[in-house]
Amino acid sequence: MLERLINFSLTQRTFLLIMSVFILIAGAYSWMTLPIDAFPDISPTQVKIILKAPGMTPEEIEAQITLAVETELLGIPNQEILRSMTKYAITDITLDFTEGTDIYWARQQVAERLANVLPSLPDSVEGGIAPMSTPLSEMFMFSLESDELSLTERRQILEWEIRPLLRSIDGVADVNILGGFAKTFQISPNPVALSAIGLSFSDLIVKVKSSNANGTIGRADIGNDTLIVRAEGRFNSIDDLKEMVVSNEVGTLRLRDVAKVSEGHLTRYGAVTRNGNETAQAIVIALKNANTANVIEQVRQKLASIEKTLPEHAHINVFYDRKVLIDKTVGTIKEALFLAVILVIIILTVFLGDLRAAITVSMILPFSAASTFLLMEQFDITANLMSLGGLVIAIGMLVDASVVVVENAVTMTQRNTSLPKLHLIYRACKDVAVPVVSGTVIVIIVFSPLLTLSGLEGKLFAPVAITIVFAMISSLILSLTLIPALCSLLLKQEMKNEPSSMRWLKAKYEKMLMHVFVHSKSLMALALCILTLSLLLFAFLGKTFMPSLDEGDIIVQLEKSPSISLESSTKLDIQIQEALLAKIPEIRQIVARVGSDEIGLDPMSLNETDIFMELKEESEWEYENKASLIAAIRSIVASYPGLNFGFTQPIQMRVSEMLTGNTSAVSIKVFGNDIQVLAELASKIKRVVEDVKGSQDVNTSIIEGGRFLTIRLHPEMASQIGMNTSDLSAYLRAYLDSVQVSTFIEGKVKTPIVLSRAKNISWKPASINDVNQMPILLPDGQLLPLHTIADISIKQGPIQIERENSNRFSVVTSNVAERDVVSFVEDLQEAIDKEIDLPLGYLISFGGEYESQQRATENLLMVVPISLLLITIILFSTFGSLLKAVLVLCNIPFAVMGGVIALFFSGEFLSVPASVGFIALLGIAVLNGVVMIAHFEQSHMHTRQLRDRIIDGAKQRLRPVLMTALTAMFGLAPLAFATGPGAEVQKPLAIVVIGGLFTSTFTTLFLLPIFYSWLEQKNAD
Amino acid sequence: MNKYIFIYLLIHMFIPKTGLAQELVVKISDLKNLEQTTHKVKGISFYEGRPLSGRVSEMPGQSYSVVSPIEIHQAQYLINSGIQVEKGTPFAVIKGPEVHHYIEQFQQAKLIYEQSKSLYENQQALFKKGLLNQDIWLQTVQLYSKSKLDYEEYQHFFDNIEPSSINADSLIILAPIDGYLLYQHQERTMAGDLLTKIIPHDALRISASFALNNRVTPTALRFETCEIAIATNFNTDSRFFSTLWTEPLPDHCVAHYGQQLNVQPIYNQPLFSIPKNAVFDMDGQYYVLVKSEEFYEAVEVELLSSSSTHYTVSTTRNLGDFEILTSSVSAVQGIMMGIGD
Repeated sequence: MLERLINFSLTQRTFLLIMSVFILIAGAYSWMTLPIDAFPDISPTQVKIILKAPGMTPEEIEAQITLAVETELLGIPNQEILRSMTKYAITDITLDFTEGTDIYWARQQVAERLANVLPSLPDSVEGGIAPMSTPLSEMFMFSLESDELSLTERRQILEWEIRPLLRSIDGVADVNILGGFAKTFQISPNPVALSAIGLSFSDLIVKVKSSNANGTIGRADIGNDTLIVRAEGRFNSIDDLKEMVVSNEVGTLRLRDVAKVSEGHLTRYGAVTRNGNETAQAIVIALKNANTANVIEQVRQKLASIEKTLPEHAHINVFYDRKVLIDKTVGTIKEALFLAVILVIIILTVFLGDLRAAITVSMILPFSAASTFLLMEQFDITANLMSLGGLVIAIGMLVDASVVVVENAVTMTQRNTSLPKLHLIYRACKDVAVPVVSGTVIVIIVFSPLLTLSGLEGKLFAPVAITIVFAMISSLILSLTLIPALCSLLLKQEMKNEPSSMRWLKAKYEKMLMHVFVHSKSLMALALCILTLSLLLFAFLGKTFMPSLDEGDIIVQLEKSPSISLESSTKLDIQIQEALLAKIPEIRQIVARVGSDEIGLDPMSLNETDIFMELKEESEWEYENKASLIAAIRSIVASYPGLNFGFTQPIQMRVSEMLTGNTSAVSIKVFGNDIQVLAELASKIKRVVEDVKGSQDVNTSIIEGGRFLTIRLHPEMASQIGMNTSDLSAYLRAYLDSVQVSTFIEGKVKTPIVLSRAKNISWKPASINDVNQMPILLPDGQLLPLHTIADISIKQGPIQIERENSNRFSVVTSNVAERDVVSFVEDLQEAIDKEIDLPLGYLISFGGEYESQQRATENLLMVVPISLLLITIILFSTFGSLLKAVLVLCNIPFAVMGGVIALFFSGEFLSVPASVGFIALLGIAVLNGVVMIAHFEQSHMHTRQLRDRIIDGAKQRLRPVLMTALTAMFGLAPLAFATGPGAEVQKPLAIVVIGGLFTSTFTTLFLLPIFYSWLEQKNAD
Repeated sequence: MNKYIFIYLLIHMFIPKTGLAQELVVKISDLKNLEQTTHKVKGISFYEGRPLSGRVSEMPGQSYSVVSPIEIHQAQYLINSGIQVEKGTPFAVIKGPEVHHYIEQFQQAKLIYEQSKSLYENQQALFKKGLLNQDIWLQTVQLYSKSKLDYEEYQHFFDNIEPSSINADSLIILAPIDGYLLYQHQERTMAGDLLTKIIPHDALRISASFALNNRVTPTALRFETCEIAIATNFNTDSRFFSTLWTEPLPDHCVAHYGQQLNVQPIYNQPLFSIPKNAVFDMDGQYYVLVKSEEFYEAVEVELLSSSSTHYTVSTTRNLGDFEILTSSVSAVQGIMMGIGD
């Protein structure tokens, strides 16, 4: 079959070239249209429910809402994990489905179950399924700045002018508005006046509601025509509202007579500050599976057109644009790819000594890349740091097949000028076709374990493996089709000697190999010593999940006293912002968000703040690197005591939250039932964690400390005065918060009409004594102080309740500095076992990066041996000897040895990318071994002495072995030395492969011949 | 957290106890870069409580009622209700046949009275001389007394009638005293019905309901710029309230009879006024952080009332002229809770 393929390629060259050009163009088009993102979509199929229950405490919500919804959801098939976070007045329930579950199916299932349970929830519950976004969907953030517009006006513009326009963009799931004041028309009733005319609160609500409505009446036929008849009552202006008649019993009394009607704002549950001043911001949330780069581009264009229509002096200030990160990371990879291609072409030219041959081999790169992009598009794989990284990793291996084909073709055409060129090329290609196919299959098998990874590591590294597989398959097919055709067109048929440099190299190699044969035992002992040393070094290697991608921006998360007010919380944020801006000139701007967002995707409490720092370009920094910059920021934040704080980055924060519900490298979850016990255990564990070396930013989420002023209506009084808890709640809510009674519609702007306390004209209770004295307007119009009709007490309770698979838990989080995560967790486990006595029914689990690292290790430890077995089977079928197959496999430990040494001395940890490096190394090492041993086997029939045969064979294979190794090494060198964002993720991989190739090449060139000789001698004996 | 406990113990060992329920201290140096703005506490002699519902009305038992002695077909008021009048000011004209009859009755009663008086005086002289039978004298005395009473009954009403109006079918009624005229228009006024009420100036006061279970009674009520001392506190039959009555409304206080008012009770008590942002909560108690040379000491306070910016607090310790922390208070609260340790 392979022969026919090669034959077809050489006889139908024109067709093949046209097809290739077509693939090249299609590939280029695919590249331009491929969805581009910084990261692959790492989110599982996840459905989030956000339910808001105004006025309910976390415990009440948990008991009445969360539990009911969780119980209903538990029956949905394919679910993996069910998490919930319940805070004051809100609960977020997140359901992760197993890999591959269709998101629309999952949402439908959840929607059906939710519809079943919603009627049984308290009446005040509102909300539902969150927009179809992922935790990484927050891709573009901006604030609206103006010295002249008030915060209310800014919020109005964001809410009613900008948001609808941005939501019309394909791929935008929603636009989350934060900060500023949401405008309302506020009715502040005077209870005394209402009492005087005998109007109750509920009466007033009914009057406003019924007045602000248009009614449909029907049609009236007038002559031959029909008129639509309608009743009009909606308020057209705030004056209409003021003039609404509320009573006619003692003269006409209007709303303005019994209440103050003014413009106000909804109670705020969060605020945004920028560089020390309050502002309003918008977060553009992308739909799941949207093309992030394209969506951002459209958002940019739309905002540019909107900005022209903004009031004078107002401007849009973008402080987070994912496209910048995408461009930087993809740019880093593209740069590495470009350099890799150049270096590989240079290596090919030097080793082949023939520019035409080098060009022929190099042609495999653009065509393979184009085919890979085409396949990526077909299989919905986005272009990102990981998938493009896979292509860079593959560069060195991509040329291997064509190197073998072209090298053989060159050798054939240079040695034999009598036969037709096409025939020689056909023979040359046919000779190497089988080894080329088996070599490529080995590489594909080697990378197959990556496809078995699950969880985050699977999402991250599957694109790497798939891209490599696509590239290798493309390379294989092209090597046996396009390359032979190009060889026939580009190579010259003339007698030619090997390049002098190659001849010199071979002579030196021969001399060294002979010397090695004499001192084979000493060399073997030395190799074993280094191998043992590397094993020791391996024990000292730090283990972590993966290096964190430098996203450029920094987020500091603050946690303050649980009962802090929004105003105090904001003031503290401003203090810290001002200090940071004054002392760290590297910060371009700071945007801090405290409290909850509007949608509830991230329901932070008033004591929680995310301080987002946009940094200047690194060239403008005074600090050497980001680590020292972070250290400086840390020392400033630490000089503000009484706060918990931690460092993270925008994507890192959301990924961590998605995986574990929190944002640190290591999380220790304590599962149990009693909130107080959970809080105490978390506090004890926090102290233990702080004592473990390497712990940094150790925090325990504050779950206790909630204080609730509970007002309980006296039952006998309630019956006597005709007031129930719900009436009382509505009344009190109007005093302390606001009660929406209707909506004022003005074009596209909808302004809530609320009953609320107006600033400056009525008092707001500011102490428990005030609450006691609050005048309550009874249904009969009588006024009584609150304490006469209700018991008022302060109760303590949790401020948040987190649950996982229906079990409550508290969590302690820590980042890890100057050591690896795995050893940190091992020490931590030991310390916790020693110092913490867990009560019955309580258990601890470790999560975060550690969990992903452990899962990845377990998966790889299970799958890599299976791959090795498959490779052994292929080797056995190639050589027909298990011993020779094992001989080839002997190359592996020596290759790994180099990787370990390189990793150790570079200071990198053993991470998943490093493990991928070892896997790649395994493939190259086996491939080199196959190249060498196969040649020894081919010369088996020669009658010469064994040693001469081996040395001759090794000399013949020197060029392909060195080329394979060097193309791989130089192909990865740009990644190893790259410094741009994104490079840190692939760097360990490059270091392992480069280090491993040093030792592996040495083993292939010097130890394999010795092993082979020993094996052959043994066989002969 | 341990260092604070240590400092706490030190203070308790070496500083005499002040009777505080709880003391917590934080070293100023431990606040590092936290902004520390302080406010000098000022003592106040009074404070304003939460607004009460007040009403301008007359103190019970002090108003004067003008009652119609007859059925009146038409009562035309010359002065609007609620207006202050002086004694003798004509305020209403009453008309109708019964008025005419009543005038006649008055004139008859007057005539009978005058004649019986004359008879009485004549017969008195005869009786003294023993010339008149005792039975006849007794009848004369009885007749005279009856006619006098009858006449005086009419006379009381006619004292407040414009004399020039007595000969017609109508009568002009005059105000019997100085005060606020208060009447309600009626379709028909029967004998014995109230024609008007006149509230003497010093009877018009502000009353407000005040919850019975309040520990302290206000000393004055304030509305707008008007502050009036409390005169008395009636414990009515209400289950929840007593009624506060102020002194009479001074001239500069513009308020109309029956007007509903939001009044603020004024309490006379030596207290402290502190900014709202100085107060924080620890375990259900409220504290302020009082500055000393090296420490901030948390002093428990009781929040009595609040304005938009300040609390009125009571405390067992004299906070007068002490500096209290008004910025970064929540961060200090966090320190005391062990956050960020």
